[in-house]
Amino acid sequence: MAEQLVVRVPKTRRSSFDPNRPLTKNVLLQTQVKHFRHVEEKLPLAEQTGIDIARLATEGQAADYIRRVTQKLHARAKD
Amino acid sequence: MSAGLDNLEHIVVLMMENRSFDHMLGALYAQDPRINGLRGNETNPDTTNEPVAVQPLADFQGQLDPDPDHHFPAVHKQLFFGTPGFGTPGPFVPVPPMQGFVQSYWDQEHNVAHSHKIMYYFAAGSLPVLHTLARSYAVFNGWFASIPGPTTCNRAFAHYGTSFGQVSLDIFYVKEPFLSIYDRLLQAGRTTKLYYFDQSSSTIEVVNLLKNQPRIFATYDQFLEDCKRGTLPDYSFIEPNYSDHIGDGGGELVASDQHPDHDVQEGEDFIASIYNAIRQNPDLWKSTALLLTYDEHGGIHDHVPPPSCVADTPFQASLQDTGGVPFLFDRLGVRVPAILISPWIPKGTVVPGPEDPVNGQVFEHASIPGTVTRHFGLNPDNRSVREKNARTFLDLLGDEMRPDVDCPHFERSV
Repeated sequence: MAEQLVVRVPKTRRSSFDPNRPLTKNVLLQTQVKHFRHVEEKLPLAEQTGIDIARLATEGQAADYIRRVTQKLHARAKD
Repeated sequence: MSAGLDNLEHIVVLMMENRSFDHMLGALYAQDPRINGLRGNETNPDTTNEPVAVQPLADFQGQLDPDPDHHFPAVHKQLFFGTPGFGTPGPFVPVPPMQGFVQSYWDQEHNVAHSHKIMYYFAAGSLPVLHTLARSYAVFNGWFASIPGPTTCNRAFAHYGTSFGQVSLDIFYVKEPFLSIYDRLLQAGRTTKLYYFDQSSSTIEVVNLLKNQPRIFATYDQFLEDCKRGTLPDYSFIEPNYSDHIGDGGGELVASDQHPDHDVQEGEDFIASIYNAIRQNPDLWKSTALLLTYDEHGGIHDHVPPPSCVADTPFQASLQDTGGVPFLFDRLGVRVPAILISPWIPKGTVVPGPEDPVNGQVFEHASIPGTVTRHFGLNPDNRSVREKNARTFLDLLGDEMRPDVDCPHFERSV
């Protein structure tokens, strides 16, 4: 009887994690931030984050901004 | 109808980021010559006019920095360099020679040695998850990005069957009468979810979908839970993690999208986790088809010329976005990896592409909503010209379900 093929998935190198990677290195992430800002601008002022996206310099900062706006959008859906 | 199709209740699509077919799967030609990968003698000229050959030297991270340009004008050069329009006199060449990848990458830093890295590909076995899936299920020789351009517009074809005339990363808006595949499913009383990784990674489709329909979104953790409980919707679209960030629980989360210069190995683990989640629920496994593909090539070399296709009338691209090249959405982008996974697919299926003039089949991202529409019997009207003409892919599911022992299992590191 044939044996099942079990493939071990190597672990990602710990050194790969770099939330301080400059945002300028990733055009997609920069674009995602701009699109989130475009959507955020349509929210009532009181619901906006107040974050100036021009000051976002790293992947980690971009992710934090995207999280805040995503939460706002979900919160509005619950209202 | 095959038994596989009879049993099919769920379609899951996982779309990764920015890698070409040859870069990820090109090495598999040596293992199975039906797979239209690399022979090893493919070259591109560098700026000193020396031929640069493909080499199995791709690494998980650190080589493709800066992010290779893949906006429309750069991709146009990657495809058509050496033909009229790029300094060579003569008539328009409809079949791109695929000779401009190295020169296009050189444009970014003017570094000849670094520009050669755009020709690197992953050695056989260096991507154990992707290579195993490609050899175990159905690998497509002819799945192409929908547009010779970047992410946003290519992903739009997966969601809407069109990009509404957009060829760049800029914002686009949905135009009537076209609907997203999610709206079509919901109108038909079907269930659907877009699973993003977490709220910090979120979605690329914020302007039209997340903003207006946040309820159709859920997280990767919810996907795992839905697989476990058997509550997966009829159609699921999964987005990977687009950024390195701290997770809600304080853990370090590495981007899994495989977008250069993110770590490809983390993407391998992410793909394995999606596969395992479906595979470990026996009822789900026998009733689900998982399509794994990439949104576009990310500026990385591939040797197969993208074919022409029906124009996406009435749309035409802005000349500002194309660098002055008229574009009617009548030819496809660069080839990307695509693998269809199901126990109803015979092991080692290779779907021929343009290399086979008799049996070859061409797929693109509009094939995704086209296939979902067909399988779930959704309203076939009011779809883009491109989607109406896109080939569907579920006829690959056959009559025999492979035994469990015949389907690979991934053992992930904890």
